[in-house]
Amino acid sequence: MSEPTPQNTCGQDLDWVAFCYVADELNQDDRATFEARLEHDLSACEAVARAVQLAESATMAMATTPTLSPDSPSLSPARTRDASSRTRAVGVTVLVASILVLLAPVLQNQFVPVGPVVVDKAVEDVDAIVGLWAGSQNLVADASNEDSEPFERDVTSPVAAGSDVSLPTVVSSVDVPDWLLVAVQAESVSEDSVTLEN
Amino acid sequence: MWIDDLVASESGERIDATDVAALYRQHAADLRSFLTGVLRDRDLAEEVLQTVFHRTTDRGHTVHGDFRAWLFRVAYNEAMQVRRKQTRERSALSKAVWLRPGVTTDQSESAVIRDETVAEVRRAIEELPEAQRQVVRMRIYEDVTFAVIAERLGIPLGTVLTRMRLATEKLHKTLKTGHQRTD
Repeated sequence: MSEPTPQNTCGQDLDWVAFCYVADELNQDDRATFEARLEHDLSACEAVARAVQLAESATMAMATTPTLSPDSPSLSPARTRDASSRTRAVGVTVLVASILVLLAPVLQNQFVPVGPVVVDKAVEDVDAIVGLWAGSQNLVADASNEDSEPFERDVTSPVAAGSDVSLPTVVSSVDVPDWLLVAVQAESVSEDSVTLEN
Repeated sequence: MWIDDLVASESGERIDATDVAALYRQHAADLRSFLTGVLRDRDLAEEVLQTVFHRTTDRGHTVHGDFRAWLFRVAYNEAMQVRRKQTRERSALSKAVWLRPGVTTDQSESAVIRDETVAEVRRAIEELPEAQRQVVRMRIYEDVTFAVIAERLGIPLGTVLTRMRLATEKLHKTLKTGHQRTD
């Protein structure tokens, strides 16, 4: 059995052959035959014109209708994968941003300097960033237990009261991501180099 | 006046300018589409269309009978001549250019007709079964070949061709209905 081609699948349907011609789907022989026909056959010429008009109208219709455009649900697997990974990335970003916003008042209390403290600037930044992350992790954990504990509990919690929580203890219970450690280290190096230059 | 019934005089004079204008109004849109299909280039198609009406001005008075057939024949010959000249450059042309809506010299009246036609085609596409709509979208909008569509969807090429043919039949009917209404 011969392989299906645009022409042998459709027989003599002129509109279909014209569409395939316009879409560059005819093989060389079929193309040459059809072009020879165009020279003397008005109906073939009109079929080509209709094929172009159909393609143009369909393109415009799909370009102006979100449900018909390539971004609609039924798409190729690769495109779908791209879309879902983008959605995941946006979701994670929104989650982290929300946590940081929620933590802002808590952290403000926690890191207000009580008096002149002599701490290496880089170390201070590292502590602050890691503390921020640890705090966010605790908040997420607390939020998951919210149903079982009254809201007033937060008022007496060490973090909310701004007491001196030992960071290493907190950090040991959370999983600080690699990207955060790398970012903090890079920041430390940068600070050191500035100090040396001065 | 029906232009197809027009029989130009053979007195040696040129065809009347108003007759040429009337011919342009009646046939230019289809000729432009035809030339775009043959040349795959909107700008070239527009150039050749102008040449066709120059020829009409020069030789239209010699035409007897079916002016539309004569215009398409002139258009075809001019297009082939341009293609022979452009053979080298043609390989660099994007084959999808013809698909993108372009600027034409048609003014507001045809633009309105076009909007109506697009709306009807949109409705027709929405009414297609999803399997056919998907093939139409990939072939026309994304310019993916039938062979690649078959590969991506994991279905036989014959199935892709059948879906596309059924879909284009329905869309052609919609276009014909739209044209009959505007005629």
